Amino acid sequence: MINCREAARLISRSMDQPLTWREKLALRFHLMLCDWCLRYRAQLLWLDQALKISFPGQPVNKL
Amino acid sequence: MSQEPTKQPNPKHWANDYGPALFRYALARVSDRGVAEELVQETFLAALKSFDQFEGQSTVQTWLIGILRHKLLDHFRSQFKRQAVEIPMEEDDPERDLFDTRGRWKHPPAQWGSDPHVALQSREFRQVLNDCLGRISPEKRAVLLLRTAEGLSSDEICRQLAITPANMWVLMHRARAALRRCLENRWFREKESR
Repeated sequence: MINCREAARLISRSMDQPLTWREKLALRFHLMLCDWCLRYRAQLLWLDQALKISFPGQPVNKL
Repeated sequence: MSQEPTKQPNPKHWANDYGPALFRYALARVSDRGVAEELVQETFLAALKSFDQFEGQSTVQTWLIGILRHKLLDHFRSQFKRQAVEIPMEEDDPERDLFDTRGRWKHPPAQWGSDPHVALQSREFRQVLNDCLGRISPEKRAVLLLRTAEGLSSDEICRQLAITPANMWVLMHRARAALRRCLENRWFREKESR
């Protein structure tokens, strides 16, 4: 089973890229048992949303 | 960038009409007043050169910001080129403070509440967020903001900055972890103790 440090890395990466099924499974399993990592994930999602709100760029997909 | 001045697109008035908005836009992303000023100046210069191509399909401010975004990307790119981003695996690693040697949390992450809109209504919080962004390294901030604020995909960021996906994820992970830690310490824990 992955530890919290590894889970935290996967949580961040999953926000940028789809994980492999193995990684997904490992993370899902870890999150079922670990409230702190669940909270960490909620924080990172919160942070991403906060940055999007506070940097209202233009709806341009590509530079 | 909410209100759009309805001024005539006369370059003589650009500095007054659009300078402050462009400066704020740049400063929020580079956290360095000198660099932000330079980027705005370069934007005006580039805009002057290509003014005849401005067809009025967008507003002048939107057009200028489009140019500024390219200047910002050039700036980030040169930053990465200069430093030839070799990511030190140990140095400057927020994980060391977060986890013990067995990879378990040293301290439980706090509850941040469900809606960032609420926190962002507070001017004090916005100041803390800006300060925290200013504290993370320019490379991490660049990657983080290109992803979240500019909405670029991971592939696009790697391509634009000429870095590998592995490098990008390490930078993103550390940027998020560092910003998270700063906000947790300076805002959420502070609030708990108030």
